[in-house]
Amino acid sequence: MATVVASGADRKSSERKFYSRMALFLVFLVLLGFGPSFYLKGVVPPTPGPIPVFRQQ
Amino acid sequence: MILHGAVFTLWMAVIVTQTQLIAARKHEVHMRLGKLAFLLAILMIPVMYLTAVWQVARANQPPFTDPLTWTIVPLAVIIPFAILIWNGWNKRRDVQTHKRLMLSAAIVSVMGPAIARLPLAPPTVVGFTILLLLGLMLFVPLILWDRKTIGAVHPATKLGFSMAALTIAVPLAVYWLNLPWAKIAGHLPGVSA
Repeated sequence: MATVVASGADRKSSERKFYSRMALFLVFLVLLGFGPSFYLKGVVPPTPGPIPVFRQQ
Repeated sequence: MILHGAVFTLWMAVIVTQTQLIAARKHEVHMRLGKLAFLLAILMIPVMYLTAVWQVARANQPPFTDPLTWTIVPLAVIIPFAILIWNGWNKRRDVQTHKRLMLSAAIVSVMGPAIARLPLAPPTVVGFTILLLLGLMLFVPLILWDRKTIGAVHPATKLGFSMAALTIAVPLAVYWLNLPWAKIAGHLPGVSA
């Protein structure tokens, strides 16, 4: 029984880690993608990706 | 478009906070914040639309397209995002379904805009296609997780993947099949070319 409870707890723990890491990875991608054009505009040079950098008029 | 950036930054902050609250077993706070997050997600829908149509006047599109045709890229995200958010809210008591739908909604809102800005491919239709397909790969960890934990792909993951595929299939169809989307986009409320 103790083993079953422990494995259940382990499963929940891994599940929490998985979703936390996925969320953090998405934030990392947002910072990487929008860094040059939004978050770090003027600090780092713009990148030549398919979508042009954010332009304000 | 500072508002657009602020709203989406807040959305990403909420996604991370919600996963951290669950990891810290603060379910009550998670549920209370979830109500506000749902309202934020609803607010994001008109913001997505306005961002799409207002960029026409700024001509903020890549060199391989025109401003009106380019509106299909952000507009194609709106309905899939809304479907995922709505289902995620309705299934909030079904934990396994809820978390997959919310993660899928986060992926759908991020995969195109963030990954397509990475300098990994040339600013051409082919380069854009490669980056969109790369964005779809964000579902691979979730699919692998499902197979590892439940032995099959969860129906919510299938819905999330389908919605994500739709967000890229629609613009790719417009570009690869030369569909006359610009003629329709020219009549959209808010468009001022």
